[in-house]
Formats: sequence, structure tokens, C-alpha cells
Amino acid sequence: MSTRDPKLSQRIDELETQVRHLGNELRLTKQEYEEATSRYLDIYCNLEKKVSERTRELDAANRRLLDEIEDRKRTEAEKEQLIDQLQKAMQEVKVLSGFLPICASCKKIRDDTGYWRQIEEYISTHSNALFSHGICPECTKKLYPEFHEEMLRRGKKK
Amino acid sequence: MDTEKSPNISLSGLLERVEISAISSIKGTVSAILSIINDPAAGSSDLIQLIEVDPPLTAKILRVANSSYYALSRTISDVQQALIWIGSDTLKEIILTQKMSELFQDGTSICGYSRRQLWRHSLAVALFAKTVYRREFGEKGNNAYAAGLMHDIGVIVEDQLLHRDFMLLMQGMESAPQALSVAESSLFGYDHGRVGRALAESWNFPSELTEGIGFHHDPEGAGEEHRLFVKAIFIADYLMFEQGYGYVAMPLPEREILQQYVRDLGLQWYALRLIGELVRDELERIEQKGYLSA
Repeated sequence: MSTRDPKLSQRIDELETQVRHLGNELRLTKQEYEEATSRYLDIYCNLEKKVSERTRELDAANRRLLDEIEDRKRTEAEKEQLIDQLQKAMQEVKVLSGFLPICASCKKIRDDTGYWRQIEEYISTHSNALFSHGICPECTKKLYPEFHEEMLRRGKKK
Repeated sequence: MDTEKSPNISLSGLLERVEISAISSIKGTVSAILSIINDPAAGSSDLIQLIEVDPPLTAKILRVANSSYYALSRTISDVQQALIWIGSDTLKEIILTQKMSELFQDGTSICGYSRRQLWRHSLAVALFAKTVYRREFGEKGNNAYAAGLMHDIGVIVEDQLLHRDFMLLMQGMESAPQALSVAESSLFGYDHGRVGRALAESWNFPSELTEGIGFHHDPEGAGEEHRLFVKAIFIADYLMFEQGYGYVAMPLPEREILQQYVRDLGLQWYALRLIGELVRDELERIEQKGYLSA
């Protein structure tokens, strides 16, 4: 068969072209499939990585929050203590600056529980003032008249 | 849209107008997608980022991915799934196609020309050029698709920004048929190839694409490096015009030129015929689904 039917030879050429085209298409499709697979794996792995990263971040954030809560609690307690102290101080200031019920005769002071206290006891508990005991000349004269006279004589001599 | 009579606006003046017109709204996404196509190191995340900053684009992509065209067995609810199920190359094409289609909305239908026809032509050339690269050369042909889709971007610029003159030009072509480039050159002083190339250069398109757009009527003017690519675009443009996917009635260049380029690329006529049939089927499918229409 040296001379082929031209129609047949054209048909063969066409079929060959088709086969070549489909071969190329198949190769490209395979390549695209592989690319898609690797992209999928990529995204999947990234997802796992992202999840673990995010978990770590959340843990850290959680720890920070707990620390902050502790801090706040501590500050709160300190504040309360301070407020307590301040209130106490204010109370004391109020007691010493308000009316003090005092006995006209023995000079005892009545406290908020109704108990009559010695004036030095009362003031020293409600303020920072301290007492140092002495005796005045009038009371010396009344309580120790001889000692008082002797003091007077010595005074004149001088 | 410009309706003032402006017979002699310079090419640089026209480009300045592009920058302040609605055409420039596609610049960012289109330039970005082209650089992703041409950057082998670009990863999926670049593509996803590009889509996610553009919510209307995201919505369109999900609509296309879930359309009966792809007929996937599952619902695609985010861009990452779309990337896996329809593939990054297809996704790139969809992005480019959706963005480009924005330029072909509305417009006037005159003497057989309409933006819709031009869009149909652009899609046909894109599919043809891509299929030649896939089936004949065994390459993905992303750039061939892009060049096919954008080769007449100069025409749409003229239609949008020199609207009245362009309409007059179309009317004139009907009464005295001549090659569009010739008519454009005598009216504006430049043709749509030069407009497209200037735009592609100012938007920093890859050089292969810039030359494909700029020299699709004159591949010999392209640099040596990209000449075969430009010839493939020429062939796709020529054959699609010839097979009823044109947008204006005009005489085509000498057939001898076409035959020469077909030989230069080592293509055979039955191969081109097979590809033509594939493209026709594909366009029919696309038109039935309606999702790619401008």
C-alpha cells in the first residue's frame, strides 16, 4: 500500500492530533491534581499548626488573665485595708473632735459603750497623745499642805 | 463617560483620563493577579489575600464555584475551599475574567458593535489562545488566556473615554469597511493596540502580556522573545473573528499572513479546527450558564 487513500490519511492525522491533544490535557490535569493535593495538604498542615499556635496563645492569654485577677485581688485587699485604717482614723478624729460627755466632778469621760473612763485612758486610746503625770501647785497645797509651805519658805529664801 | 468632541486627545492625555475614570478601579486586582500568575514563588495565600480584600469579588467567585458549570458535589463556602476544589489556575482565570467583565457593562449597541459583542470576542480569543497552549504546547497557558481576554482593552478604553468619536468611527466603518486599526489611526492618531500597550506599560503588566496586547495586529513589531506568543494571539483573534466571534464588520488581514504564523508556531489546520470546536462548545456552555457574561 504505497498510496494511501488521502481521506484515510487525513483521518489518521486528525486522530493522531486528537490523541496528542488529549495526552497533553491529561498530563496537565495530572499536574494540576498533584498541585491541588499538595495545596490541600499545605492548608491542612497549616490548619493544625494554626490550631496549636492558637491554643498556645490562648493558654498564655489565660495565664495572663489569672495573674491579673490575682493582682487585682491583692490590690483590692490592700485598698480595703487602707480604707479600714482610714475609716478607723476618721472615727477617732470624729470622737476627739465631737462632743465628749465628761463628768463635771471627777472628769471621767463616757465612751461609746457607756463606760466611764479615766480621761487619760480615754484620750490615749483615741489619739496619739501620751500622758506624763505631775501635780499642780493648787493640788499640792490641798493634798500636801506641809510640803507646800516648805516649798514657799525655800522660795522666799532665794 | 466622555461625550465631548475631542478629536485630538493625545495618547498620554488618554492615559491620564483612564486613571481618573472607572476603568482604573480594576487596576489593583488585575495587576496583582497578573503578577501572581507570573511569579512561580507566589503561594495560595497570596491569591486568597487578594480575593478576600474584595468582598464583591469573593461573592462572585463563590457564585461561580457553586454554579452548575463546575457541578461540584459539595457546596463551596469559602475561598480556601474554592482554591482546593476548582484549582488555583482556574481561580486566577475567574478573578481576571470577573474583574475585566466590569469594563464591558452597559454601553451603546451601534452598527453591530456592542460591549457585549466585544466581551464575547475577548472571551473567545482567551479560550482559544489558552487551549492552543494547553493542547498543542502542553503548557498551562495562563498568560495566553490573560492576553486573549485583554488584547482589546484599548478598544474598551476608546469606547468608554472617547465615546462619541468611537461611535462615529463604528458608523463610518459600516459605510466604508476598513481595518479598525487604520480607521482609528486616521481619527485618533493611534490605534487600540497602542492604547492597550500604553495602558499595560503604565499598569506594569508583564512584558509578554504587554506585547501580546500591543502587537496583536502586528506580531512582527513585538520583541524576538515574545514574538511567537504574540503570533498565537494573532491567530486566535483572526480565527475567532472569522468564526463569528467578531465585534465589528471589517476586512481581515491577508490570509497568507495567518498561514505564515500558523507555520511559525508549528500548528496544523486540523488541530486548530479541533480547538475551534472545543472553544465553541465551551462558549456555549458559558453562555448558557450566563455567569461570565458582561
